Amino acid sequence: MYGGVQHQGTNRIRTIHTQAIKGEGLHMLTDKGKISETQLAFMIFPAILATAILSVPGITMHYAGHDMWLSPIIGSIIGFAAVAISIGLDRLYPGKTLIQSSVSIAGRISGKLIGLVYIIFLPHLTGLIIRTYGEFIVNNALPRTPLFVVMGTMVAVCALNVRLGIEVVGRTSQIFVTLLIVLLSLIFILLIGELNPAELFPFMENGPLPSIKGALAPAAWFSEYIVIAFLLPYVNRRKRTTRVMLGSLLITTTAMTVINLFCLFLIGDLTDSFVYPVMIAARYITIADFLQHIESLIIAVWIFGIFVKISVFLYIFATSTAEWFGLKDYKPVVVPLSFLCMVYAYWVVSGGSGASSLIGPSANLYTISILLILPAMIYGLAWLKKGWAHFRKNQANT
Amino acid sequence: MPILCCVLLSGCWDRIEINDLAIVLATGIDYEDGKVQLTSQIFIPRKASAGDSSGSGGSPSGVTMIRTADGHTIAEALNRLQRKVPRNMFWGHCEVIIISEQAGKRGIREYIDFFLRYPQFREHAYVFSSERAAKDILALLDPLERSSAESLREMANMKLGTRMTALELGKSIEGPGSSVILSRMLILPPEPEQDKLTTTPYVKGLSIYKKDRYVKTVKEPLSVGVLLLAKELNNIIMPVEIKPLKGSFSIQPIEIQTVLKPRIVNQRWSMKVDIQTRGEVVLNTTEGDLTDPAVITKLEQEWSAKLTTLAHDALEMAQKELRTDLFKFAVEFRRYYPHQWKKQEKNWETLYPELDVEVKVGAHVVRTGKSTGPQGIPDEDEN
Repeated sequence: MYGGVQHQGTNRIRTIHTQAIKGEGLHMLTDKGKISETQLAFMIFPAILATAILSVPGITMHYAGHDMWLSPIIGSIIGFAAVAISIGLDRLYPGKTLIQSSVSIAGRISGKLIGLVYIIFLPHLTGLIIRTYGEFIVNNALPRTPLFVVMGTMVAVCALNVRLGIEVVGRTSQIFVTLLIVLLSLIFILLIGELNPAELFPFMENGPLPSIKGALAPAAWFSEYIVIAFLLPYVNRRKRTTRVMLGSLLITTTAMTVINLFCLFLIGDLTDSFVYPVMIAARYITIADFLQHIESLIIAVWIFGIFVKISVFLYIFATSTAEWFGLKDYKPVVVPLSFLCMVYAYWVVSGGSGASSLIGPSANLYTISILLILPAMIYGLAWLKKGWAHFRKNQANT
Repeated sequence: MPILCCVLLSGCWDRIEINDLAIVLATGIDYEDGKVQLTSQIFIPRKASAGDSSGSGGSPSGVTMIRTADGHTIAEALNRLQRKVPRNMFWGHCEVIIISEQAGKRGIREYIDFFLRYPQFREHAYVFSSERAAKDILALLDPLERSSAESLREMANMKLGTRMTALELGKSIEGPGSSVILSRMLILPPEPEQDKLTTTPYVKGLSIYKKDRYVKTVKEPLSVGVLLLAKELNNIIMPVEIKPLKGSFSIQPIEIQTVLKPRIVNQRWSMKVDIQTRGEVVLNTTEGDLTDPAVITKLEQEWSAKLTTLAHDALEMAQKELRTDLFKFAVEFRRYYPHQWKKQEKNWETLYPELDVEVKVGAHVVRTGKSTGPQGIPDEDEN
């Protein structure tokens, strides 16, 4: 009798489950894993910050001068928009990633075209990230090691991480990001003795325009929050998603602002004359003649952050490609795609001068347009569609 | 997979055994015969054998050695230096940089760029100036510390002169003031029976750099005023006399706070320097009694007057004689009057010497040491 009731129960659950899957259409997620919201927040934090730490202080100082600490705050508006769009899209089309929902929204052909744009953009972005990482390591830590070894080993490990599924990516990010946050705070606490807060002035020397101009670069980084749109279907649904994401946005903004402030207080006007100002800040720590030369520790910790970032982007790329082609499982595609990203890492910069154009204003606009404006258009379209359908339903009812 | 890892690790390109490293503790820059001379003080690792270097500073312990090389540019000199050393030179531990006045006369812009660009140098290295050749100071074998580099570093940590790191040097020269003050090091004469290298460098005076060139040496008592205004005065005991008492009081300031307040009123630029200090009396050679509040008040007044005079003398030298903004007035103006600063920035060279500077000193004697009245007066009767 008991067994009968149980059997009946599970049967009912099973039918509901299949109905639910069928209800979402023919598209299924290519990965069966699930992560929690905090894991998603942990994944996003380094996905934005890991390379922002390197380049953002220099660029914002260049444009905004002593107001550089305002630029991340202004740029976070873009981040907020990205989060809002992702969550909005998820509400309209639950359980679908951006690639899948764009097909539902814009129709088969244009939806596929939008997906193609992402499939071409993502390896470019991932290649850029890998290249930035490689250049940083070779410049600061391992000058004689060939770039290929540095980048290749990282990509190999990330490919392994991605292949094992979203759960693995989520869990590794939880561990590593905790370490990252603790040790990053450590640098800043140790530096407090050397800071000069008077560098905040002159405030708004040239008006508010420079900090807005400087905000373009952090905005490009914040628009990477759109990766949530690719990852929300994997999250164990609970009511707290919006709050957790907004909390993550707040933390990222605070982190970027604090980093900018520290660079400003320590190095002052010279911040944009250094390639990696945060590295200079880390090297400056010397306490009681024994806590010195900790920059290797900083580099090691920061590599954790970059590992999470590359894994996240590689994962999105692999699953998006698999979904676009209609494959059932994304795992076979991972290794060839990671190789493609490596190749992009070489294509990205065509010479020494290319390195600075990587983070110039045109690159930032390019990133923002694909990572924010395109999803915004998709979301706008989706909204219109739902509104139109609602309107027609109302008309039919009356 | 493990085999692959082993293969990759064995070919690690950047591994250098510690035995193959020549750790540089200090760098010296001289200039002679049209060439830049770079000296490095290299650490010699010695096994701690039994009876390690016995005899208080008898023979030189040989913990460090120096190597010099020259070249047309400092980078070329660095390269030539490596050729004289059988190990890979590692500059990451270079804590001290000494620039001789001779090299400073030619301009230190080249050296600043080198220190802030070459990846191995530490931005926290302390920069000193030396009267004679830098390599003479680096060659010293300090009896107390492990190396003269370490004693120089400790002296900088204790703030005996100015505490100037390579990063701050860059900021000072590139900032609107375009000047920097460096501590000037001389060599203490060695004890007669000892080897002439077993001695210590010491701070005497300041070297002033204007627009990256060395221009002037400043000695006491002018250097006291300069340090006072530059907010770097940490180690001084100054004698203060009260007329009509014979003798003097010596006061050691516990804390000195210098605040610069810029003001622009009706197109007139002026700066108010507010110095607040608290001090302790350490010597009393007069007959005045410090428990008497009248004496203390008079003492504070005289002390303020003395500090004011010192500050004015230093300002006179900076404004009229050198026409150099040594005390970062320009930075303060930029911070609090950004719009006016932008308009007048180009005219700072002419504005600065005409600047009205008002010095206000608030001095307080807070302690008088262990004793109250004057001690040691012969034949003092208590009745």
